[in-house]
Amino acid sequence: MQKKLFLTGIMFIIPITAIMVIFFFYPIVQSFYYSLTDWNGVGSYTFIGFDNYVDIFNSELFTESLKRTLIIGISAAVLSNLFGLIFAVMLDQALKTKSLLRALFYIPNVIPIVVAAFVWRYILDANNGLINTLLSKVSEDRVVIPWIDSPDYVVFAIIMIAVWQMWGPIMVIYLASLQGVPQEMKEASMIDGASKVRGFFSITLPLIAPGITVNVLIGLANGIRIFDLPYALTGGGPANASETLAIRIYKYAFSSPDMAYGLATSFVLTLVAMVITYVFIAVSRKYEQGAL
Amino acid sequence: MRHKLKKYVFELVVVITALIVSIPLYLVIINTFKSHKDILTKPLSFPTFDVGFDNIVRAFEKMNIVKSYGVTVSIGAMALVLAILLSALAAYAVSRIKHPLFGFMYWVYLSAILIPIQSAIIPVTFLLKDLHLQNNLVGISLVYAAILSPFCIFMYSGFMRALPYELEESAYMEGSSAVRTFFQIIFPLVQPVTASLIILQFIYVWNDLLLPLILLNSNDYPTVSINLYKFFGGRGMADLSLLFGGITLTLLPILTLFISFQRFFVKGLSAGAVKG
Repeated sequence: MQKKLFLTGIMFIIPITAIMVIFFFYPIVQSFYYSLTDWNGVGSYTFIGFDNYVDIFNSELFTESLKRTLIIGISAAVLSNLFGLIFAVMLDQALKTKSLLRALFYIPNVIPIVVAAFVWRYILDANNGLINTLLSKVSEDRVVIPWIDSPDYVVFAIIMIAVWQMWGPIMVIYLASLQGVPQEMKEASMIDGASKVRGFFSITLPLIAPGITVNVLIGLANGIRIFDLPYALTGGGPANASETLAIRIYKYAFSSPDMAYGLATSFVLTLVAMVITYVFIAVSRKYEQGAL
Repeated sequence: MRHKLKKYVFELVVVITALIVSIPLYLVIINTFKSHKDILTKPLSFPTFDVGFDNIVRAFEKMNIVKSYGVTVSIGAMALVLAILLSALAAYAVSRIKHPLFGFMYWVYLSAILIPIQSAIIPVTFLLKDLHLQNNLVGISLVYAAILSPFCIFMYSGFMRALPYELEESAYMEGSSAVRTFFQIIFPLVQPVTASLIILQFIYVWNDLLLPLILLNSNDYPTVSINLYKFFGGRGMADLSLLFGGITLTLLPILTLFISFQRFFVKGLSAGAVKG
């Protein structure tokens, strides 16, 4: 019986695993292998060790986009979780309008990214944008703040839009986690005279810890690979100021002869994702064991 | 009494924030029915309805959107049938069979959620060329299936772990095969997760830019998002009324889908993610 079940299980995992291996896992291995060569997509190649990596780390385009990716990824993940949790706690207080509000918060995540980028472009445009038009009306002068047309502001604009997009689903997951916290536990903490805030930190938070882990990891994973939003909003501009690693890879690989740099960059992105995941899981394990 | 007051304050804060979050959607709704001049001069006011559905009709005629709907729905359907059916099978194995191999596979699938598609995308383009699936709807659907499945397996596993084992036991006793047991007993039970995954992953395909940009020729197979991007990417803000017409054509189908299935969706998402 057990043996038969084992064979059935193997049959069950083979089809999807095959698709994943062919179209995802094996290409990742290839990415790393070819990043150690001077291959440019056609013909033969020679093995050059880590030269491509040395080259990209000496290129400011790459190092700047690596820094920017970390800033955008971490800020977006932290902020969307913070807002998501705060508003989940507020919504959890049994509001009458719960389901409608939940939908309104979720909708930004359903709006296609191109649509979101175009609408935000219209809101933030320096000359005819909604915000500057309104500011001009209020202040009597013509206000022309380049929200997305200046290298100084564009990263903040992208983080803001990314958070606007990400926190709906995160909030829904927190709401579900909060509903799993038994009411009597919350009440028991009240009777003991623990304040609401302390009750939240000592009882509610540990109970929803698994939800936090899932949310932060998904937030980080999505933040680090961000491509569509900066691509549709500014195309990585102005002056490469909103270029993320994902956009860098796209430009290396498909609009210039630097394919090997694209491969090396994509492997760096994989490493970044792995390291961040590993560190985060180690920290959350510690927290669950009560060491933090 | 004080407790009640606090609840109202909370409610007010949440409502105001929800309204702020909804501003972009509000702008789309009102500006779709305005002329270019009105959008610029009276950005926040309600439309006067002298434009009617003109913007939508003009965008519909110019963008060749029907073809895009067809392309996107085809990709979505192929990718989802593969990803959902096969992920459910795999999730059954990793969540119900106690064996170290399946425990290990669960971790493999889980870690795949966190690896960005960019890690594989350059070799994938060459692979599709070799298979003669470059610029082909089947090719891109297979790649979508590969990158969407890990999350599907994660959601299904979380839900299946909570099912009592007696369910299959009696079926096995009666000599029902594993495949039959799965499709007759388990698969109907995980319907909430299936419903929410269909919506979630279809939204992903509908909204994605990266894969169509790289794997398809946008003249042959423009997805809805790519169509909108290419149509307005170059000309920017030249004609805002046409832009908002195009935006509505891109947004309306997916938003309708989400709102119709919303109930299902919140349940399934919560069940899968929290238990996982």
